[in-house]
Amino acid sequence: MFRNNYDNDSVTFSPQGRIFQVEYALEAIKQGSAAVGLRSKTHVALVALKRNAEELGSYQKKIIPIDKHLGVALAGLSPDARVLSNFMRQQSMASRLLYKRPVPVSRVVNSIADKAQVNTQHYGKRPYGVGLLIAGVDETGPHLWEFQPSGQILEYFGAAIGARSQSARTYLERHFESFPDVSRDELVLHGLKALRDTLQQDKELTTDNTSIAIVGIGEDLKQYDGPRVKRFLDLLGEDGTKSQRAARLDTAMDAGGADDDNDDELAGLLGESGPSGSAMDTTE
Amino acid sequence: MTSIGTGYDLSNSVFSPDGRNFQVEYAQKAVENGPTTIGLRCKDGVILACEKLITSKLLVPGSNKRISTVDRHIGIATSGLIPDGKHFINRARDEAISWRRNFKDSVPIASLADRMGSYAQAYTLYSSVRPFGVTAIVAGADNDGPGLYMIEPSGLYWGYFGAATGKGRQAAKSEIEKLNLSELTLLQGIKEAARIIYVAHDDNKDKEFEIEMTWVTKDAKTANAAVTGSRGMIWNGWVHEEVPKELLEEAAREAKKAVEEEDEEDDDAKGEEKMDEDL
Amino acid sequence: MVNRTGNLTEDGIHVDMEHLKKGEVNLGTSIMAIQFADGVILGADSRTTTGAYIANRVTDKLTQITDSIWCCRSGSAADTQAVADIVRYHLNLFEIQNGHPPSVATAASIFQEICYTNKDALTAGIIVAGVDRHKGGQVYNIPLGGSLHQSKYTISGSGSSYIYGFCDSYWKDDMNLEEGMKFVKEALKEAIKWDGSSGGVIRMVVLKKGKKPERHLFLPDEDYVDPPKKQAE
Repeated sequence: MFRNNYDNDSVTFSPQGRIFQVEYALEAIKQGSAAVGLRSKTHVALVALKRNAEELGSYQKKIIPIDKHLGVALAGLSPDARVLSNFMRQQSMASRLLYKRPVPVSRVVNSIADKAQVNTQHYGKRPYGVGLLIAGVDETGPHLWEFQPSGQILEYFGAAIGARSQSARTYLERHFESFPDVSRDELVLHGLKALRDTLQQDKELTTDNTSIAIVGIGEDLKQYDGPRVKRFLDLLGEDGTKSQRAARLDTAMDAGGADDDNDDELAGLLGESGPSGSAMDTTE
Repeated sequence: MTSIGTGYDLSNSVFSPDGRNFQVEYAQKAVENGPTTIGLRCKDGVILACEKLITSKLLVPGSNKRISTVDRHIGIATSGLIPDGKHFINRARDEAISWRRNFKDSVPIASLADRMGSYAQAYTLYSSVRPFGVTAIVAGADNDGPGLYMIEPSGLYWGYFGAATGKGRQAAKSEIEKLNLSELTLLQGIKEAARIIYVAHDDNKDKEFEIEMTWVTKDAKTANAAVTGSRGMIWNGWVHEEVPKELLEEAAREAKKAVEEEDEEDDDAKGEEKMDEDL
Repeated sequence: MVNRTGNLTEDGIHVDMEHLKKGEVNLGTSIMAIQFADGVILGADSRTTTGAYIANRVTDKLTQITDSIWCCRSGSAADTQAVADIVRYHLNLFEIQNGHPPSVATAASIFQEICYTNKDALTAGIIVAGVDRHKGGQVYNIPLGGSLHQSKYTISGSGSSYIYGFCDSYWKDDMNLEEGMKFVKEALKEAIKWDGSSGGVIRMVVLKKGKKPERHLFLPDEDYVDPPKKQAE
């Protein structure tokens, strides 16, 4: 039943000093759909891909607001995310009650990390099966943190978790140097482009499957779902979304036939980054 | 490791027939792969330094620290499982605070090391928990002067002039042994610490890295603040803080240069050997 | 009212001699401790009363806690003995666990913690004095509410009311042993003279860094002459 003798629980080290249960929990994150976070000097944005279990079913929640200045995106077991975000909400409210101020982002992230670590050291507990991207603004500006079931937390300029998130990370690594100075809309667009790179070949970003949240200095967390995502997708469209690109490809084909000039145009329509930055790149 | 697979290594707090606790030994393995971390007890303070590999350029530099302040006069560096290290440090902070509450005094380094040693040891006693996957280097200063201790997953701890743990500990240790630590000053020490981190760094395997370095110091500024501090302030005048940026950058620059020169000499030597062989 | 020892009414100050529990012994007292050049001196009278009755005329109110930390007790004899015993236990444990003796501040802090958390149940006014490795001689006072005050000298107990002026006039920093002992003795003589609840002999303990505690005894029938005899402890 087990892969080896050392992976039954989270209180057993392997001879190499690894804790397999924690590593398996890390795998659970990759089962979830992707979420991307990124920050500028003024804003932090979260974008996430929602999945629906069946055609007629609703789409799962991917972004959970915590407070006016704080929100999380999740990948993995969403019930675990709910436990953690409830805890963060309590912390946040306690901070407002006790100190009359919104809780600093690093504080709330550290508190869930400490909670998660305990689960990796005691028999009868299991590690959380969820990864989180925590976006928030406090006295020290906008922040983006990644949380892992091991209790590891890291602060990033841009981060991606979930299925095929390596593609999004590749996008972020290529472009993050420009993030600090981009506008609110541009920041979301970079997020959407990174998220788009995680899509399977036949999929595209739609108003149904895309979730966006953004928070900025002096600006409360705002979440965009359903029709309200359209504006961003349209902006992305002008840059060439997959759907737009496909449509333009179709018209080009129809109009041009076998004309050489049209081939050139076609190449141009494939977008700035070419196939390497697109959905073709699906390695994890 | 011959007893692997005999079943005695599957649960914490269980002795093997030859008297070993394998789970504790495995916890130590987690540390052996951790980043190189060292502590130097100098004449006028203590230095903590660690090698921080840059795993992604998306990480915010300066965030995600590996060395923590536990009390105003104490710092702890951990190597191994980072979340375990965080837990360990939280506990150390609680100990330091309760000491202040109970005894109206800043906790002596030996006493904190002793308490944390006991805490680590408690996690080797029960099958319901696992040992800490960290080695912690405790640096601080009290009425007896600078103090440096290293606590292992077993709960074992010793006081040190110079301590090293993590992947590059062997190389670091042999470098530390060359130093005359009872005569070394902090300003000399940070250069040595930077050099040791560079020497211990395995640039064949590892990617880029940066050095995180802190010290426990008592300069005229802090000593004066301790004396003139308001009534009820409990502080012995020593402070654990990051080594000032300019000093660290200079130390790192010199260390890099020194190590590169040494490598070149090695290469030359090897080149000559080759020629000998050819002949 | 449990802890009321006196209140002002239309017919003058009324002292409630019955504020203690039935049979409880009260150290209606004069105690003090001072810093001097080489350490600290603790001093006390020796009268213990139960109501108007003098239960003990040669009481020892100077109690050793560690090698070099002592305290002066005032208030309920039972309460202050119990508190001193508890603090002695904690400080002995401290020394064993940490390999060095506790500081005077630490001792005072533990006294305070106990006096404060149990303030409703205790009648205890304690002076803690001692020498330690790093700060030398120190004097702390913990009055009835459980607050903690460090000073160069402190006086406490019912008899202390009469000697504030004396002490203020004659105090000097860094007195030598002879001057210090004279200061304490003369102050306590005044306190005993004016306070009905203080009396008997004058006891003193001198604590010097690195030295054994020295006890001194002054007898009233010899007019507290200096020194009738010395006792080493």
